[in-house]
Amino acid sequence: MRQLGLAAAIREGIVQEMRADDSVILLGEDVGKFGGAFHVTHDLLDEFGAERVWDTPISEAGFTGLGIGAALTGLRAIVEYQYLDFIFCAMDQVVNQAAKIHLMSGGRAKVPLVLRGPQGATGRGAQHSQSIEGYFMHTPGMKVVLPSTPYDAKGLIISAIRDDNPVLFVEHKLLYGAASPGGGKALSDSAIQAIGMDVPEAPYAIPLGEADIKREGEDVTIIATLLMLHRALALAEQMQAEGVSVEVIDPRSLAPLDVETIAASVAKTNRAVVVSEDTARAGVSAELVATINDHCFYDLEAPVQRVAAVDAPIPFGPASERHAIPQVEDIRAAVLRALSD
Amino acid sequence: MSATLEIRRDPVDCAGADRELLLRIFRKMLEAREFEEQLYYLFLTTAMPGTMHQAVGQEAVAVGVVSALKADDTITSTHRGHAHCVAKDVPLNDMMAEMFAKREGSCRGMGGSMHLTDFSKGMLGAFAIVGSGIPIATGAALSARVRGSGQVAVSFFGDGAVNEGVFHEALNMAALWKLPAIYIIENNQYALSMTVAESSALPDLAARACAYDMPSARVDGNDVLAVYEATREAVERARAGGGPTLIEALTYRIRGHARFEAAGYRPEAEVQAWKEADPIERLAAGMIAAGAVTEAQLSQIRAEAEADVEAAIDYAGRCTDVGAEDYLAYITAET
Amino acid sequence: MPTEVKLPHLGESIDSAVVVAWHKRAGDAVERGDELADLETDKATLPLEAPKKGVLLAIVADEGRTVYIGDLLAVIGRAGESWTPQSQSQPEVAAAEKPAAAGDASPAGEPAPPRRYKVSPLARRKARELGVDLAAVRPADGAKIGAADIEAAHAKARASASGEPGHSRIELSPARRLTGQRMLESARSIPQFSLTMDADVGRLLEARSAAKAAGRDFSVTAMLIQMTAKALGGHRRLNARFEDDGITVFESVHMGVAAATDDGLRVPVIHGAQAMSLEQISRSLRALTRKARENRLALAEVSDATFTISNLGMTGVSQFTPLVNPPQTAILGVASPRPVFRPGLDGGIALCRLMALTVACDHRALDGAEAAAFLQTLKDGIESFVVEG
Repeated sequence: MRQLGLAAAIREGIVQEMRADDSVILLGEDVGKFGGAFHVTHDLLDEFGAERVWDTPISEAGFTGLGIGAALTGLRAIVEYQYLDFIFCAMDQVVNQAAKIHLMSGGRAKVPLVLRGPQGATGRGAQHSQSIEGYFMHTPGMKVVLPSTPYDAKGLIISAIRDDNPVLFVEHKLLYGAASPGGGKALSDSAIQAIGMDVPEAPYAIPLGEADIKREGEDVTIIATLLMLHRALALAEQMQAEGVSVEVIDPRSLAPLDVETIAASVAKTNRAVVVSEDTARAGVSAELVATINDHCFYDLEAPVQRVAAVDAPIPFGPASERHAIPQVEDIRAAVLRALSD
Repeated sequence: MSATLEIRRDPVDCAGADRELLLRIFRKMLEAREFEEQLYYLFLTTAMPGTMHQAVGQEAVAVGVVSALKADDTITSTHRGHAHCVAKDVPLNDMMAEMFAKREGSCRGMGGSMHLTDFSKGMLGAFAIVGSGIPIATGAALSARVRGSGQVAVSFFGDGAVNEGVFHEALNMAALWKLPAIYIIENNQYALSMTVAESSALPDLAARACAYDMPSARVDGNDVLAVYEATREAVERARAGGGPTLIEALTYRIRGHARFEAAGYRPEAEVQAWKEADPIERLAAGMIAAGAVTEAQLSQIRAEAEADVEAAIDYAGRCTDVGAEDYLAYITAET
Repeated sequence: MPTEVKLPHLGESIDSAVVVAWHKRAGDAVERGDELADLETDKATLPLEAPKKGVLLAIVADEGRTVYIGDLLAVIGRAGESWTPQSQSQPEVAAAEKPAAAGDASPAGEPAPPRRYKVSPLARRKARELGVDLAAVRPADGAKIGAADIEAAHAKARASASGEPGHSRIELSPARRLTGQRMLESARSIPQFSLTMDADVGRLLEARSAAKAAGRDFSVTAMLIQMTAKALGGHRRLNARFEDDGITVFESVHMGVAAATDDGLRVPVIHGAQAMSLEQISRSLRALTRKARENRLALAEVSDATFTISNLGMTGVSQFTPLVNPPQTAILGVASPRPVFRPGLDGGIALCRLMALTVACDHRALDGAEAAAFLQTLKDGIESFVVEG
């Protein structure tokens, strides 16, 4: 089957939805003429024109609000943030407006809005490296989707566009498989697995809130998304040779969260390790550990282990960044703790 | 206070105005006034929950602007939004039921005073974070342009909102792209206790439009026909593709900021002077002067408006209280 | 000042007990009289009661441990009060059982922490589902009970229940272990002798049938208790306790009656049996036997026996020699009645029913002649038995 990278898969999903549905528009900085800071919206301006692809000024709160207004009045807006760190400029629009409007209106208003962009620590310093999904996993009314493979990315972006709620679509710079046209070096990571690269050309939708078992195993369950999923898979491969059978679950969506699939896996392996690039304190990993304890406590042979970023702004220096972000060996140590306890 | 601000008490010049329009405007202003005056006492005497912000004295802005719109044009409102809803034909019954957190309310009891919404009337919502509705209305204008619907989107906001970043961001984009948007600064002169002079380096708020090369107007916000006329021009320009307009309507908040706030930071004489500039009475005097109506007709309209609000209160009393778990159905939308 | 809860004197001849189960946890509030724990002795399972109101600050003797009189079991104090272990309050056996891992930072002489294994949540659930008693499970790794430990315990229990492998192992209960220890001590340390005499129980059994027909139902054991108590009145050295430097003889007969239960021997005591009617003895015996089977005997009901009867009359044995239960000086073993033809008074042959009465004695306290005299008195009493009243 034809293979695509993650950026290209997202782009294809957007293009197909924009072709199928005139109400889908795109807003963001440099999404038009420049094709998006990471190529995701490449050539869309040419195909759909300036009435569908809006190159915005650097006004994150403003163009997020525009997206909401458009979503309230018959359009489906996709808003791109050049780096997801910038979404904090629009926090009021996202948290106070987009996420609350449906409830405030007694269900009469819907906000079909996709907020998407890249995140992840890639040597860019604290303001372009953060993992932000925890803030929005915490926000009722939001959906939070994280594609880890090209196949998932296309199916999930199509579902996100078709969804009638604000959906945060979190992409990881290291998974794009492309250099930044803005002059950044090509990004890669040795742990990244060549999985899910077969992407059907026809449109398809992956329901939001369905986890995917990326690797089946018997001894311990790892739950991870984005780059951490790839690191977990790399570790699972290593440990297979050592006689440890690791199951790796990709939630694909943190809100809603597929608790059923996670619980079934933990019921099978009786041991769980949660891995997240988000910082630990009150973060995604904390929520996942609590959820597993809520649903699977009497299936556990050992405390749920968690591997998350150090509670610090992401530092610039490569050694420091590496220290702050979970590495394969950190996940290995957690798996061993889970197995030995 | 800006030196250009003059408190006018003279009758609204109704000469040549359409009688039906005048009657409709008068009726709407009375309904808005009566609705809020009744709320004040309902808060005092009943178990009405929450809080409220009254726009008593500002009715000419809401009604003047909306009277220049078509039914399918859209507006965004603020925490002080009852008058906008009344002007936009949101049913009084639905509004009053919402105030009492009833299932029959305009937001099924989920929104309350600060979040009144009625999509069927083009009322996109009351956004109670100051300034937040400005980019949302701008998005509605962008949407109207993309869909080719010919609609205009209006954002109401107060003098305090012009110092929020989204004001600038949204106005810049609207002007840049010539979106069919109209921005209404309801300059009631106080952001809670802070005067415009204390909060804005340039107290002439309409003048900010020049930063975006946007047409603007500064009007007497207690002269409903002046407001109407300025808006009508802006609507024409917007529909013709001429882009957005910023209108500053000078008016006054007769009551305190919220519910029972006493507003002791304002000079008594100033309040008294503005009470004498009441926009409803100025319109009534103007209509009489123009021979459009008789005193008896006006009295009858006043009685009808009062009766409609009374009926809304009765209606709300017959409605069903929101169930404790109703809200669980509205957290996310079924797609 | 915290109150130290120590193993109290539980009665004559009891110097140790096994902590079976704690009903309170450290940190629990307790009222005076609350049952803190179950203590199992060779005679009975007894509650350990809280001597005062307060908070259980610490449990020092964990479940399964053998403790001796005066050993510290637990500490009660006020909420928030702290308690520092003193070396002298350490249970003697603690050091040997102290887990290696717990030795890290403890100063020498501290009591071992209560041995409570960590249990994984899954193991807890499995134990609940499989009906495995967590307190009886020992982890394979010596530290934490996991699901595999529960499954192993369950498999073992099933295997021994079905007996499939051809043999099975029965774990000794604390009561069984203590009984064994005491019998070993009796056999090893007491110079015992025994005498046997047959008594004709025909009359006694007839009297029993007659009484039953009249609506009064007595067991043979109750009758023997009454006869024995009466006989002991004239042979006080058999109703006595042997101490190293003397013998204490008693007027009252506190009759211990050995009773077999699923979990070892119990010896409830009928106090003052010499003064009791047959009805009273019979009633008392029934109540005590039931309690023994249900493991509910109170301390007073197993204390202070001066003599013991072991009746195997219902089992078909023709004669047996019991072991003396120290510090008592003698014990009577009653065998089954057996039919025997004997020359009758009229010169013919009569069918008699003879019962072997064996008295085992501590030779330090008495000699054969006295024991024989007692047996003769008892035999006469049995053969001339009359139901009173």
